[in-house]
Amino acid sequence: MNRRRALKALVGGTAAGWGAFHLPLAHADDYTGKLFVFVQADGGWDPTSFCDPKTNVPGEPVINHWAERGTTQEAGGIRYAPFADNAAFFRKYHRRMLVINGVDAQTNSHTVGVTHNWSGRNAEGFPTMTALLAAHHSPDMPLNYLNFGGFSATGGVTRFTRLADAGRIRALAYANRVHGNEELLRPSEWSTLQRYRARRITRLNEAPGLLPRPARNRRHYQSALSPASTEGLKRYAEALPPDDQLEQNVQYAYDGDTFHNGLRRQAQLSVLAFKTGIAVSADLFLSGFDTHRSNDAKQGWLLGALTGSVDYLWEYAERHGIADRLVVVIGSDFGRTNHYNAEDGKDHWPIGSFVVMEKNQPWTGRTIGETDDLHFAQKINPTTLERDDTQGTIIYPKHVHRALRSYLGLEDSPLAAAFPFHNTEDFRFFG
Amino acid sequence: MRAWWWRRCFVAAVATAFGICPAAQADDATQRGERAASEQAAEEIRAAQAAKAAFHPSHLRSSVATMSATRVNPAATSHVWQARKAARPPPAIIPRIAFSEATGESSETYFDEHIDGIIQGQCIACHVDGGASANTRIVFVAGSDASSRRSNRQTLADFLSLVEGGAELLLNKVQGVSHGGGVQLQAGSSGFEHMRTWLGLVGEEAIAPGVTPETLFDSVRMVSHERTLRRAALLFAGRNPTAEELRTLAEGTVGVRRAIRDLMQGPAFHEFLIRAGNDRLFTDRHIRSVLDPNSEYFVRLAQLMRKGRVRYGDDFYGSKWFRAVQFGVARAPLELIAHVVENDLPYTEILTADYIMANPFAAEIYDAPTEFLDDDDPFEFQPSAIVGYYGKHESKITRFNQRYGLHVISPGTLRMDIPLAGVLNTNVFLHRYPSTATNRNRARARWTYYHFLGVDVEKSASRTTDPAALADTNNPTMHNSACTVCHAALDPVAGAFQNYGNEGYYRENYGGTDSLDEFYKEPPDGSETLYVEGDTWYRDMRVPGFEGAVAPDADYSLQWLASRITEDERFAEAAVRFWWPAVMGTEMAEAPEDPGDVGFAGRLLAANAQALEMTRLAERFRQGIGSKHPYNVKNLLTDLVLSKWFRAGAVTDDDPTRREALRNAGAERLLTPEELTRKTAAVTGVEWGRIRPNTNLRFVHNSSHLERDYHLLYGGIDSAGVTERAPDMTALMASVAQRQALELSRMIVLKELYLLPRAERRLFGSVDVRRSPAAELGRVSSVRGLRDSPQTLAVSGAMKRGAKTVTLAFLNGTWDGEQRKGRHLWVDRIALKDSAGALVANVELEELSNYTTSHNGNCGHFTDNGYQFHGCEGALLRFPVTIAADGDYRLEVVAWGERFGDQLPRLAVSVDGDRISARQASRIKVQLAALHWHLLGEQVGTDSADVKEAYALFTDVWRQHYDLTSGSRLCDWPAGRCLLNVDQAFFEGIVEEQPLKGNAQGWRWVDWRQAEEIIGATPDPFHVAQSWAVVLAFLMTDYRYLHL
Repeated sequence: MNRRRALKALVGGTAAGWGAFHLPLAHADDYTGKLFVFVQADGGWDPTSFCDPKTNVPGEPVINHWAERGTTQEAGGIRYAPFADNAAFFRKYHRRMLVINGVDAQTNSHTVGVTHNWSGRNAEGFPTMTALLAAHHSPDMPLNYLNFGGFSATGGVTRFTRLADAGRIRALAYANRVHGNEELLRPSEWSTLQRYRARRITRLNEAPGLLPRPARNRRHYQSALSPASTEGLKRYAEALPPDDQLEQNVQYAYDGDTFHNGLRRQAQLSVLAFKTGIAVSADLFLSGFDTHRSNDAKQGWLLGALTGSVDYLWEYAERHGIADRLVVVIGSDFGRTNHYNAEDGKDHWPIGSFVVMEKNQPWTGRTIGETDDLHFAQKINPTTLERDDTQGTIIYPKHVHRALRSYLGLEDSPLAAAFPFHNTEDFRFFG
Repeated sequence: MRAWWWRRCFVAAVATAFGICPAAQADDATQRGERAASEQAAEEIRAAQAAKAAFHPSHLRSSVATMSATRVNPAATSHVWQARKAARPPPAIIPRIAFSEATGESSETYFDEHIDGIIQGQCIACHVDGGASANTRIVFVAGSDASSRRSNRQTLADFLSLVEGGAELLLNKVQGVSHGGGVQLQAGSSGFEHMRTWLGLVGEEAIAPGVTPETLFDSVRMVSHERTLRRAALLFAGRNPTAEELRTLAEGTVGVRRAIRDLMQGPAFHEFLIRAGNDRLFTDRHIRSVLDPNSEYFVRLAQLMRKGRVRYGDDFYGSKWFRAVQFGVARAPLELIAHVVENDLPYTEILTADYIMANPFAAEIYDAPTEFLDDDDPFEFQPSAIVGYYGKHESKITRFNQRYGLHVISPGTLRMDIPLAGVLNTNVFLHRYPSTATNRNRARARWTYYHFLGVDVEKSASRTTDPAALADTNNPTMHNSACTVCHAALDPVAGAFQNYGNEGYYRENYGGTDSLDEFYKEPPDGSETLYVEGDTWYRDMRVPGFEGAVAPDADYSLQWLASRITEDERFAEAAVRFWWPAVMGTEMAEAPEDPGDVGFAGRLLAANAQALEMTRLAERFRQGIGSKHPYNVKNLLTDLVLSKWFRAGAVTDDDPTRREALRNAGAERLLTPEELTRKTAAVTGVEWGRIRPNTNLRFVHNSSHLERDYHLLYGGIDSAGVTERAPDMTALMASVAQRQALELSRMIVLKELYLLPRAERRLFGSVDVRRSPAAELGRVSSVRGLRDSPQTLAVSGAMKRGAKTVTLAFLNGTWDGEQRKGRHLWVDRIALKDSAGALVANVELEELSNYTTSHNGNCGHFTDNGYQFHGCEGALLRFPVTIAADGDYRLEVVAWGERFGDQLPRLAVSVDGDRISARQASRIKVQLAALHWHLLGEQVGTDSADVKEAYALFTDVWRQHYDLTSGSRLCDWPAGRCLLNVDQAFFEGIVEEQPLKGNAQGWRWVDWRQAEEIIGATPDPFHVAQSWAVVLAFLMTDYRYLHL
């Protein structure tokens, strides 16, 4: 039996699935580990106008209009484009940033790019890192994996929760309460109902011969109504600010497109979920980066929205005392072409970047990975992290994912072992 | 990853799977061969580069030359591979000539007899020199002569000798695993078995599967026809099946089929079709805004919009008219699908329809003379036409005003007829899948392939494309083999959309000539253009067409494409794939992409089994049942419901591969927010958060909490950023379901037990709140007696000896604060007599003040000569007595009252034992069993675990209340709230005039005062109603209520 089959047997590829398989890890109240935010800039951002700045090359089509009037800037050794609100962002956060440039998504397809960058594999079937982290660190938390849109494959390891209207969450956390202190059922009625319901769902779970789907669904229902879940929701609801203190979505219309930035609210809801111990990982989502027309105006607004929201995320996390535990990863489907099209837009380009942020780490404050003047990816040595055309390899999303798994404690997890990266060099991004 | 249904493979296999193999050592002859092959390859590279350079915009030539010098060219790689292969010595493993035990055939003969046909019939479409898979490790020779067969046998032998696990890889590939050509041989098919047999004959290990698609359901029990019908009723009709529908089950399969099919009508089925369609097309993303009110093409829209803005300002954007117009345009494709299905038209008409579905508002802006039953109903859709579409022309006169928008002074003379092609050129479809100057309708082509041919071009292979290819700017979609593998098929279909611009307007350029990008026609840098006047499509793209055929007429290319698609045999399979998720709640299984994936064998088995099922269903769909009514979707939906995948109920073995394959089998899935809303409304008569806006002023298409306020929280989609329903219950979703149950349960009980005549009750037909479940004697009476002439009320019956509780409950006490008057009741004394009439006990009520009693001190007090019940709800007096011996007794109560309004005081008297009587217990359990059927679809007996559990809950709650003095009414405060605004249609069918107030914007809300007056008192002296409210909430949060 080869190693692959042995692993499969060890992990148990049964349809009982991952819902029943989790390590008895830290109780929600005890969890003091890292917290994870993955920001999906959906549509294909323009790294050459952000963290992998490209000025124009004589004799070549114009790569960036901003380069006609400015030049690449630097903050603490990290180069950035003088575009949108980059300056403020890089100056403030360069010490927390690891920029990984020249990541080859190997595709111009949105579907494949999104799958590749957020799961580490361009074929479907792998979960997001967000899902893996949630399943590994907090399987019992009521909303352990938050997803605000975008790619959300779980691979069956956990469930995601979509948070929307915060005001409704308050009502839901206290399902029996209305108008402040009025109640729909009397307290004794409510507790009696819950007691009998718990009994019933336990009995339903024990029904013989359940097919995998009903077995799974029943387990999900039972855990969704567990005391830990309901108490967790209450803690969360109590932590939510009044509606007038919630961040509002912002809109921007240009050239027939309308963009909506809800990142700040997503960040707010996520931080509070982390703080109240009901979640450990979240996918934040901002779409619109697919700028085939009027690239600069749209990317400008979107990148500004992105950096402004990530700034807000850090500040809000700081205010709530969890910034020291936060790990933020920002990425996109792929990049944009090294020239403009006839409508001043930019089309798809397979080379992208990741930005990983964390406070007080030795591996931050630098850029790894390289692209040439025309934004083609260069080979990097996994050990030295320097350009190496003979011993190096192009950086692919799987390298980033593998390194993140290792850094974030997933490498030896059976959960991650079920989704292995084969033939993947070990890039020491995080030391 | 979806299974593929390629009959003609035109997508190359994954380069990573069939990558380049290392060269072997060469001898002199092979060295010469290698040199020749290399020289030829080099020459071809030079020729290709020269061709590219000739076509290249000059400013890119230098970068292309640079790229070509430093990058690897896949085409060259292929030739190198071929050269290396030619130079290789004979393989170490010569195909062993073995003999089949079964037939005695040699492997050679077996190959010739059984494998060659597969190669020539299927594989050769791509795996041939010059074919889409020409750069892979398996390239066959066309032809079935001896030489070709020998060559092809050798090709496979070479492959098997050089690739570890080659046999397994081959078998996986033909099943669609990481195969650009998709599924070619399904596991279990004769072709697949031949392949496996032949591999065995040549000495290759190919493990025989334990469970096959044919045996997958061997150890699976199907659910009953009754349960199947119930689920179908919930899906298609949003309700439980009627008794009559259930009776048809006695006719067997014919009856079941007919009963299911007969469910497919009415508003709920219509909603199912709309929802199912949108879950695929996501056109509801633009339900509020699809047509630009300032676009000059729909002249009527612009004219009416301007009038509205002049009169109402920007508020007009929120007007019913504007919303209804956008709704009418946005729902066109979904309503077309519904129209076709509901009218038993062939499904092909969703693409070939030469009409467009419109509501009265959309028809108005189309200038179409369509007749409607109700010109003011935004939900009425009829087949219509686009009559008033005007192109840009010098005769058109318009002005734009910042405040009022576009003013069309004259539409001009260029009125254009749009050749309609069903869904494909509805404005919303084109708007949902917009184009750009560089995209050039490829996204539209991609989604057309996906939805109507079952082909996902973007995921056609998990290809790791060469970066040089991706960076190629020399029209790579025409010239670069890494790109042409998809674009060769995609781009002609994109061309068929040639008449539609980026936002979906027909021939939007001046003169109505075309919709080409203006920068293509007139490059801003002044460079030469390929455009020739009269062109409608780009000359640097493939001509509009479909799969090798060219669209004959530019004007009608989309209609032509539509008919070609419907003639393609993949159309039927795509239809199965389209409707599968609406019924099954999950996408069809795809072959996993990596044999190393956990559960690979099971997932592959599922993909194969569902592929077989799809083939079967598609064939029935295509031919029609009994060769009648081909392409009838109702028949297809019926087939889906009757399939094993839907009806699977339980599994009796633990085979891990089988369990993995059955991962999503069975219909027991979470109801969607819409389905749960429909079910609750049908079963209970109440809809959570339903609103009733003034439809003259306001148009709302989603009227309930679950469809509006909690939609995303409960796993729904917004058709924009969230396009996948959440299938798994989370804590937040469970809270939503709880909230619904808690807000509704008391109101449902209120409606059933206090407002509706018994005959109209849906759930609680046998419940009487005026009777105690523990009563041994009981009576409800109207008290006519007055102070000066009290009345004696009597009730007789048998009682057992022991401790009893006497309850006196004043059912309709009331007080009018303004008039300072009310309805009151006094009770003087109670006498108990035996069957002979002898007085057994006499209780002067004023004496009870010295003893232990329960009474609601807010609603009554002891007087000098009795007990007075005040004019309020919840007035009751309760005290214990002891009966010394079993026997028949007569209880007499002396009382008088004050009448108020048109009602006499009503007094309930009850002598209760210490527990619920056997008779009442039996009635309660019968009621519980009925509730389990109505709400959960479970046929359970009164001695079932379900009923026992629910009965225990009932008695537990009832006993808690019984010991309390307060809480003797259903609607109480602060606990036990009845939310009168939970459903603005709550009082429909109960009163003529609804207790609703409204504002000028058309929004309405419940007038609480009026509603309270309608409801009146909700006395519940024996806590029956409250106990049932808790039980109802319990059942409405039961797992089986929330799942199909």
